Amino acid sequence: MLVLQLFLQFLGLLIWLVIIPFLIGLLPARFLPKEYRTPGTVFLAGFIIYLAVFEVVGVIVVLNAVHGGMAILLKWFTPLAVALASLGLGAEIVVPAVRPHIRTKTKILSLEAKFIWLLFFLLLAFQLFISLTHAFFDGDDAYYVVQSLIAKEKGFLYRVEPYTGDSTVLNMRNALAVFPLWITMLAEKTRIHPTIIAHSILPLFLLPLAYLLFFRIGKSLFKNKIESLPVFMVLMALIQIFGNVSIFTSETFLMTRTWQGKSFAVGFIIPAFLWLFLLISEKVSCRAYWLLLAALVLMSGIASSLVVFLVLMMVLIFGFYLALHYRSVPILLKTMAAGIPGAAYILLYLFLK
Amino acid sequence: MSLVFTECIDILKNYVGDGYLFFVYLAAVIYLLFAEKEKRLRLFFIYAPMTILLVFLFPVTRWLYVKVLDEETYYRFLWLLPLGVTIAYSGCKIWISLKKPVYRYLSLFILVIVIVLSGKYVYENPNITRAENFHNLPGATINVCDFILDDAEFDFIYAVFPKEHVHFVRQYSSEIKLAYGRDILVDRWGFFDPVHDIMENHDIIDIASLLEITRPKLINYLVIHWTRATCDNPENYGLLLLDQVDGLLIYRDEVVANEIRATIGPYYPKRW
Repeated sequence: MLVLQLFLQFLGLLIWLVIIPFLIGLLPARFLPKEYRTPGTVFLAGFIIYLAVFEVVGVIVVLNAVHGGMAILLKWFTPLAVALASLGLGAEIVVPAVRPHIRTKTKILSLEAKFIWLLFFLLLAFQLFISLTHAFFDGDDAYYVVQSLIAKEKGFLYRVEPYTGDSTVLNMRNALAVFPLWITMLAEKTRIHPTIIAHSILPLFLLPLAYLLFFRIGKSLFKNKIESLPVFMVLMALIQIFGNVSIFTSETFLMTRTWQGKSFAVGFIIPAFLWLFLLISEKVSCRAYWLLLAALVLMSGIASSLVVFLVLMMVLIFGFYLALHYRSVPILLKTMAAGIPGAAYILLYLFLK
Repeated sequence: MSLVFTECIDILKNYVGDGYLFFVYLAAVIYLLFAEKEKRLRLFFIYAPMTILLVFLFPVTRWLYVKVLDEETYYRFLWLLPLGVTIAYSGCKIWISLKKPVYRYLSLFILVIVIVLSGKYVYENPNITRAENFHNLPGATINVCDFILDDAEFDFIYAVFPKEHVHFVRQYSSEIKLAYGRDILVDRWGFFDPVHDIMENHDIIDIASLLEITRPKLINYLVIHWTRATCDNPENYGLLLLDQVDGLLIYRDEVVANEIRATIGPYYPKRW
């Protein structure tokens, strides 16, 4: 019985962390250049859209539902996510656009490359091992993790004071950032305690996800010098492990409080922006890249209201230089258009604050 | 404005911390200024990040940020600098420029040493301990919470815990309300709570004073570490010692428990 329960929980995690985002990713992937229709890119694109949809549904429900908010959120998000995933799968079955371009042949690696890749995977395994076997105390968990738990046990979304359990008015600073509710959704789908999801399961997913992004960034950087990629990954892994020069660095946040929204920002949202920017700078005419950028700006609110400000800042500064580089007004306009969801979020935040 | 600029510099200094990784990053940017020829990568690694750094140091940005958001999180601007990617890319650029395998291994070794020596090991941290369970919460907290959840007659648990457990109780069960929470424990936030004051700020816990505050609030469970002295036997005041779990004495306030039974209890049926 226990084995069956564990199997079902694992299956639930697989479906809601990997399969559904991947199938959703099949929708935008068909509009990407052929060389980028890889499983990793499909998954990342799908994950951005999956969380952007969750953010939109989540914010609407948080602002409107006083009682039973979590049930309403699940009632709306579940069919929406399944529908998008089915659409992606159906489209791929009817008109295969990704499968024909997935390379099955693997390049033969040199001994040197194999050795350095091995080094990287050892460093990653070490990080995952520590995250699973060690407890990382952080005072903010008394707020964020408890919000996930309240949503699961009481159904209230941001309407209970997490520190004590007293009733409170909607906390606008956090109400638009629904990452804790995504944790609750995973807990509901798998019947696992939200605190276990946050502390023990999410790091095993979010850390490899961050490295998948670093890998894609490396791929974009080393187009013709692909043998540099394992060295890049080793150095990235080391920088995460030794980046704790102060408690404020992005590396410290990613490694010691992986499950919090702000750490998701440094482990996924900001690297995803860098990755998309590299893709855009390579081929500015690809509309799918710009749409993914807009979706990323939209989903950045899931982490925290502040992250939307930061991402908008990045979009504007990087976009300005890109427009200058190509001497193109349309690029500037596209940049501004990609930032519209973020601007709308900020206006909503200021209006409700 | 110069005062605000000094604030920005102080925030940057605090972010840079006691390692040299940020200086390695700046060195990498300078290296790429000379070594990187591809224009789109120059704007990715040099122009855009340095603009972000200038925007961060610009006093008006800080002033606006504090107006719209808050004072404490301005350092997060620096997350936008692609520090890791820039250092790793520069390292790879050096590595790939070397042709002989011996030099390549040597350069990789030097790069590793530079990162290790200029950074600080993230797991060398007093806040990181061996996990006792998959919740990553202290086992004692979980055991006491389980005991109380089992003992409760109604969906009405209002408890006082020692400060060491306050962070964790509601991460295990939101069914347990707390008399005071984590916000009271953060000194710089400057909050005061009389229950916390009686429980933590005196050598001896004054049970009579404590109950004067907890009874009107219907706080029905009190958890006290067995080493803490009380000015009298708590059982003389109507507290029933239920058990000692992992060094924690669990008391139920019978006066409050009877009042709950007679009044609001039936409206809060136990759900677990």
